[in-house]
Amino acid sequence: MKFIAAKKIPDLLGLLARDARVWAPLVPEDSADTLLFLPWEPGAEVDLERFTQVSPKKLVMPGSEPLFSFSYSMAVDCERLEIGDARGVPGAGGASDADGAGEAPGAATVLFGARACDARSLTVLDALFGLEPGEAYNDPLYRARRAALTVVTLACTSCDAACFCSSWAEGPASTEGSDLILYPVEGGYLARGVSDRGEALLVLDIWEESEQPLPELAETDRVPFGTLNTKLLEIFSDMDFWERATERCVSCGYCTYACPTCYCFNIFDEMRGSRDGERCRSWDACMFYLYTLETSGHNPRPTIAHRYRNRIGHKFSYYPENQGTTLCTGCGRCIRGCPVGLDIRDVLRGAGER
Amino acid sequence: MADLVTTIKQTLKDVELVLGWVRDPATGVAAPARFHTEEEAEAAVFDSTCVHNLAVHLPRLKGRRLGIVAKGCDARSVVELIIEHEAEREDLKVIGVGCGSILDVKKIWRRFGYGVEIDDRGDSLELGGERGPREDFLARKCHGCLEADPDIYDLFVGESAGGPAGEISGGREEPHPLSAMLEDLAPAERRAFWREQFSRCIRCYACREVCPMCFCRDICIMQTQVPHWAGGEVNARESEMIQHIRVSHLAGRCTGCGECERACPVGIPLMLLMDEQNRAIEDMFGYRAGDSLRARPPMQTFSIEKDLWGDEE
Amino acid sequence: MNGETDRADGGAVNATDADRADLKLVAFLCNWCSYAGADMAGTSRMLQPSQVRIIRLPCTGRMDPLLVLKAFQEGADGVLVSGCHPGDCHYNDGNYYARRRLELLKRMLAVRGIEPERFQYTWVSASEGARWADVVQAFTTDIESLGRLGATVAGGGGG
Repeated sequence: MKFIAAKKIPDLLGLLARDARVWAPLVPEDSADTLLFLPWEPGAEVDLERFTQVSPKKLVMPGSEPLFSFSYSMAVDCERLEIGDARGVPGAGGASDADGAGEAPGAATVLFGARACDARSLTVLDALFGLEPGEAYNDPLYRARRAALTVVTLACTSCDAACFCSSWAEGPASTEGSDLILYPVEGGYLARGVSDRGEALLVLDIWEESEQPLPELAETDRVPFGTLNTKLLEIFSDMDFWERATERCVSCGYCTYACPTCYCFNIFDEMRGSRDGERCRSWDACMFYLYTLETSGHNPRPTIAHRYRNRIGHKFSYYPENQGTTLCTGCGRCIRGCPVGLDIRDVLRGAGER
Repeated sequence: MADLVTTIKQTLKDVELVLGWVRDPATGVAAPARFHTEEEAEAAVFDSTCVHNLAVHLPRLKGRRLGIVAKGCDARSVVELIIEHEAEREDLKVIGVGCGSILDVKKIWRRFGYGVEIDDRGDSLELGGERGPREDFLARKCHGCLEADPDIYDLFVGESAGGPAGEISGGREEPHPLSAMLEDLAPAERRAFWREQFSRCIRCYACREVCPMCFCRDICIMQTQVPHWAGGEVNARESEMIQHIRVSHLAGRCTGCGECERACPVGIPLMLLMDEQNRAIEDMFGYRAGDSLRARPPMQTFSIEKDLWGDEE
Repeated sequence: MNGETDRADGGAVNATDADRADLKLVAFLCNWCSYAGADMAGTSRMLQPSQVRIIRLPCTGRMDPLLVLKAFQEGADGVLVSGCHPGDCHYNDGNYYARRRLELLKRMLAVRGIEPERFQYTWVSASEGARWADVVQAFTTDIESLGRLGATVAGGGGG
């Protein structure tokens, strides 16, 4: 099997960076306790031990992106509207352009150091935004980004108390969404291609041969889903349950924005001056009051309990009902990073016992 | 915690619910909770992992009779909320707890893994078997602690710390760890520094939602289309704008509880901004938010004689 | 008003210096004093820099700090606020509230890396046309020596 020594990982990243922009788990400057997928540059030290705080979904679904530009002008007797290509906001990104918006869709990108849960989440998004032209849902911007993305996954030989990907059949062993998988072993990583694109990386002149066996993968916590999807429908009107379950929630959007499968977006116009503007799409979160606020002033989900009920119901009941898969891969980010210690598994277990 | 449990039970005879903490069985650290019955109150705890500022819940619960377990820093937020009419003093039973400083649990988890066992020995910490200096993992706000005992309370539990949290606190004078660095930067470098920091922002608004003083809650002009103070794009430019809206609106309100910086998932040093503003306000107006129920917020008043800065003639 | 001021002082700027001409300066002026003062400067044919865009306020008490933040974000290189002298507010105390807000804002802008010269506030009465001309010229000279806030600016970049 192909093998790479741990100390040669920077060389591998260097090779990958010849033809693509490489995003890897990096510690931002001045923030030692943060780990994020950021653009890798030579010299930057990747952290392949800890977990990142925000999922890599922005590589296929940026925090915001322009869809098209428009411009009003006065014709003789009417106002004329012209539609143009998306321009983006010049100079809006940071030095590292960590928001990802600066990258045009379709630029070759490597996601390095994703976990199995992250890679699998991409296939969940694929089903939603459509990979092939002609599918029921078909988002050209998503498709362009996804087609240009190579995923190098880091297999998990250890996990923490927030992980629960073993709740799904393959757990940490899932190869869905990955192109190449690196398995941590003594002194380095074994590499296994799981797609043509991943196999192609194995011809790079950097791999050694190794006889080491594949390591044993982590075994995480399991949430018993069973008939949870119907159970969640049964307790839909049980507001007492939802209110008690969400008492500590403060209704921020961290769980949805960190989540690799939450895909809700908002579409809005940004004017630049009084005549020119852009139609943009950005992430949106069902935990925000404004998410469902209607023009009339009525809000069908007025309280945190209503909004959290929707978050859980959508992920584990309505969406599986329609698409056959949960909107969750067990990455545990929403648990690790919740400012008030709300554990989605507790709510799911509580619902199951209700 | 028999004392705390008893006190909460006693308070429950008079109020609808009590805001406090329970121990999360999965991680062993404290998590916010509401106690509605005496039976539920049995689970109440207070220890050095009670980092959250529970005052954040008061505006949403306004009009109901509540109890709240409060550390010294949390009580400052309670004071400020009462001044701003976001809570009514007569509706509140404040259960003060003597606080000997608290831990930055998230920092510990990020270094040692989520759920790692935290054994607080008082003078040192054992984290998953490794022993480390406790001071490295104290919540940032403890370094600027003004008073470990609550200023206002109806009942008090535990040992009084008698002043700021022991020798660890330099009070308001203790600078943010990054403030010396910022001090040395030229203006253009400062702009680049902040641009870089805000380029990470994902606009989850956790900073706003955990802030007790961000009480506009659900309708916040950071997100409204009309007025359109900030664009909807997720980029450093707009993220910096929304944060400065927050900073501006918290002038004279921020008690320095540090929840925004603690909650930020991408590690933006938000308290560096808040500390600078709090220091400026203390310098200009001699005002510290949360000091006194009778204080007049500085941005809601003026002084003809004293407000002389710069090129006054 | 804005356009007229621009035309009235056509010769004030060295037109060959494109950088200077490109500067965007915003002045928020109180309707009851400084705005009239600027008007007086104009009708008295006093020279005024043409890079300044004047926005009229009912009172500096209306001066929301966010207006300044937004101006910088949208590409302003300098912002000037001018109102009635302390004690002379048309509404008695609007400028006293403004003074607190603006001074605090000035200090916070410095934390962000916006030089204190880029944000100034001052008091000019309706009869002080000459003072306005001096103030706005000095302000413009300050910003000219600092140059554009630049594409890497804390707030700007759009332009």
